[in-house]
Amino acid sequence: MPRLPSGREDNSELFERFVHERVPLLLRFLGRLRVHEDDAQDVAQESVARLLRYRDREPPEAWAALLYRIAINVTRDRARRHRHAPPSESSDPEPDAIAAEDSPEQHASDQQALARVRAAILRLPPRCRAIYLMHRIDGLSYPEIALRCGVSTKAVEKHMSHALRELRATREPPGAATP
Amino acid sequence: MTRANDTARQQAADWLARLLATDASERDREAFERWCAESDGNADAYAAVCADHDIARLLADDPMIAAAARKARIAHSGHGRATGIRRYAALAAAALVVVALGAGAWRFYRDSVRTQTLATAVGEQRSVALADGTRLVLDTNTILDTRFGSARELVLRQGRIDVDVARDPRPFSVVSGRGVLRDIGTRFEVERHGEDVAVTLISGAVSVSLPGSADAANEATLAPGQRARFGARGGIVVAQAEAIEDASRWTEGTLIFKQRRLGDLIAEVNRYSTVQLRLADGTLADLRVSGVFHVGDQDSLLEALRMGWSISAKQTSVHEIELSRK
Repeated sequence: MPRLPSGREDNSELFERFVHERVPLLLRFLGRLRVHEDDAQDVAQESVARLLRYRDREPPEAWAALLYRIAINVTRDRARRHRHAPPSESSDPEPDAIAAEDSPEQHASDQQALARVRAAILRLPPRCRAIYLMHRIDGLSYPEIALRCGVSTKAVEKHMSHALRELRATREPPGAATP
Repeated sequence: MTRANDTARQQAADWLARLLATDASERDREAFERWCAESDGNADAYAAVCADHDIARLLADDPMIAAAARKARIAHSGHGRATGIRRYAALAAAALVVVALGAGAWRFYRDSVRTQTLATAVGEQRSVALADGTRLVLDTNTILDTRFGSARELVLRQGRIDVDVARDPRPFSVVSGRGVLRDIGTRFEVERHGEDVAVTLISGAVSVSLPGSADAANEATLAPGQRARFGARGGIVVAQAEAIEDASRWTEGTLIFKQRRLGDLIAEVNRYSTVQLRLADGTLADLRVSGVFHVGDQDSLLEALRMGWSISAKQTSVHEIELSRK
C-alpha cells in the first residue's frame, strides 16, 4: 500500500532491519523447499533484491508474506533455468503466478488477469468486498477494519481469506440485466 | 481444477490472510513454512494467491473498484474517520502527481490558480482524486475543468460527476450552465446535458443559485435526497429525487430503473455507447420497464428486453441498433 512519502526514510531503516532479521529464517524456509544449500544464498539474495521494489508500495506488515512468495517464484525460476529437476505437473500449473513475478507494472499489461481479478472482486458478497478493499486499497489493518465494521478481527481474517480464494475463480460475472 | 488444487488454494488463501494479520506470530510463520514444504502444489498455490492479491492493488484506479472501495469507506466511516481520510490522502498522493510543498511554497501555491481539464470518452468512467483530497467520479462523455487557488472551483461543461468534497478551509463551488453550487461539506452529483442541469444531494448541504437571473426562484438550498433542476430559462425547480439510495449507483457502473419509460432508459444507456439504440416505434417509448443494468453491457440489456418485454433488436448499421415489437 502506498504510504506518504514522508515515511520513506523510516521505511528504509525498517526494511534494513527486516532483512537482517529475516534472511536466516528465509534460508531455513528454502531448506524446507529442498533448495540446495549452495543455491540458497543466491536465492535469498535475489529474493531480497526483488522485495526491495515493494518496499514503498506495501506496508511493512505485508513484507514477510511477500518474501515467501518471491522466494517460491525465484526457486521455481532457477529450477526451470537449470533443469535440475524436470518440471513436474504441479510445479507449473498457474501461469499467472509466474507471469506476475515481481514486476506488477509489467504484469498490468496482462489485461486478462486484471479483468479476471476485477470481476472476481465485484462479484464478492458486499461485506466481504468492502473488507477486502478496505485492506487492499485503503491499507487498513484487520483491527482497524474490525473497529469500523463492528466485527471481530478474526471475522475480518475470514472475509479476507474468502476474498483471496475467490480472486482465483474464473466464472463469468452474473447476468448483468434482470427484467 | 482438481480437488487437491482446490484444497491447496483454499489453504493458501487462509495462510495469506493469516500472514497479513498484524498479529501473525513466528509460530504462524513456522506452521506456514511446514505447510508450504509439504508439496510443490501448496507452495505454488500460495504464490498464485499472492499474485492475484498483487494484481488487486493495480486496480486501485479502476473506476468500478475505486467506487466500490469508496462506498466501503463511506459505509464504514463511523469510527476513526480521520485515519481513513489520512490514508486516503496517501493513496491519492501515490495515484496522482503530487508536488511536495513546504509552508512557504504552500502559500504561493494557494495564491496561484491551477487549472486542469478532465475528460472521459463515451463508455468510460473514471475516478479522480484532486489535490485537496476531494474525490470525483466522472461518468461517460464528461468534460470538467478544475480551478484550484485560493478557492476551489469545478466547471462542468458536459456529462455527470459525483463529488465527495474534502474538508478544506477554502470554499468549494461547481459552475454548470447558468448555475453555481456552493458546498458546505457534502456529497452530491451534478449532471449537465446542454443547458439543462440537475443537482442531486446525497448528504450534507448544498446551495444552488443562478447569478444574474431575475427569476424569483434564483436560489435554493437542498436537503439530502432533493434534486434541483434548472435550464437556459426560468428558475430553479426543487423536487424529491426518486430512490436516493440508487442515485449514485452509476458510480459503480450500475443503472437502476424502476417503472421508468423505455425512452428514458434508452437515452441513458446510449450515453455509454457509440452504438446507439433507436426505437422503431414511437409508442414503445412510453413502455414502463424495471431492471438493473450495467453500463456498457448492451447485449445483456437487449437480452432482457427480448425476454421480458418481447422487444427484438436488429443491427441496422455499425452505429445503430433498432428495437421493435416482435
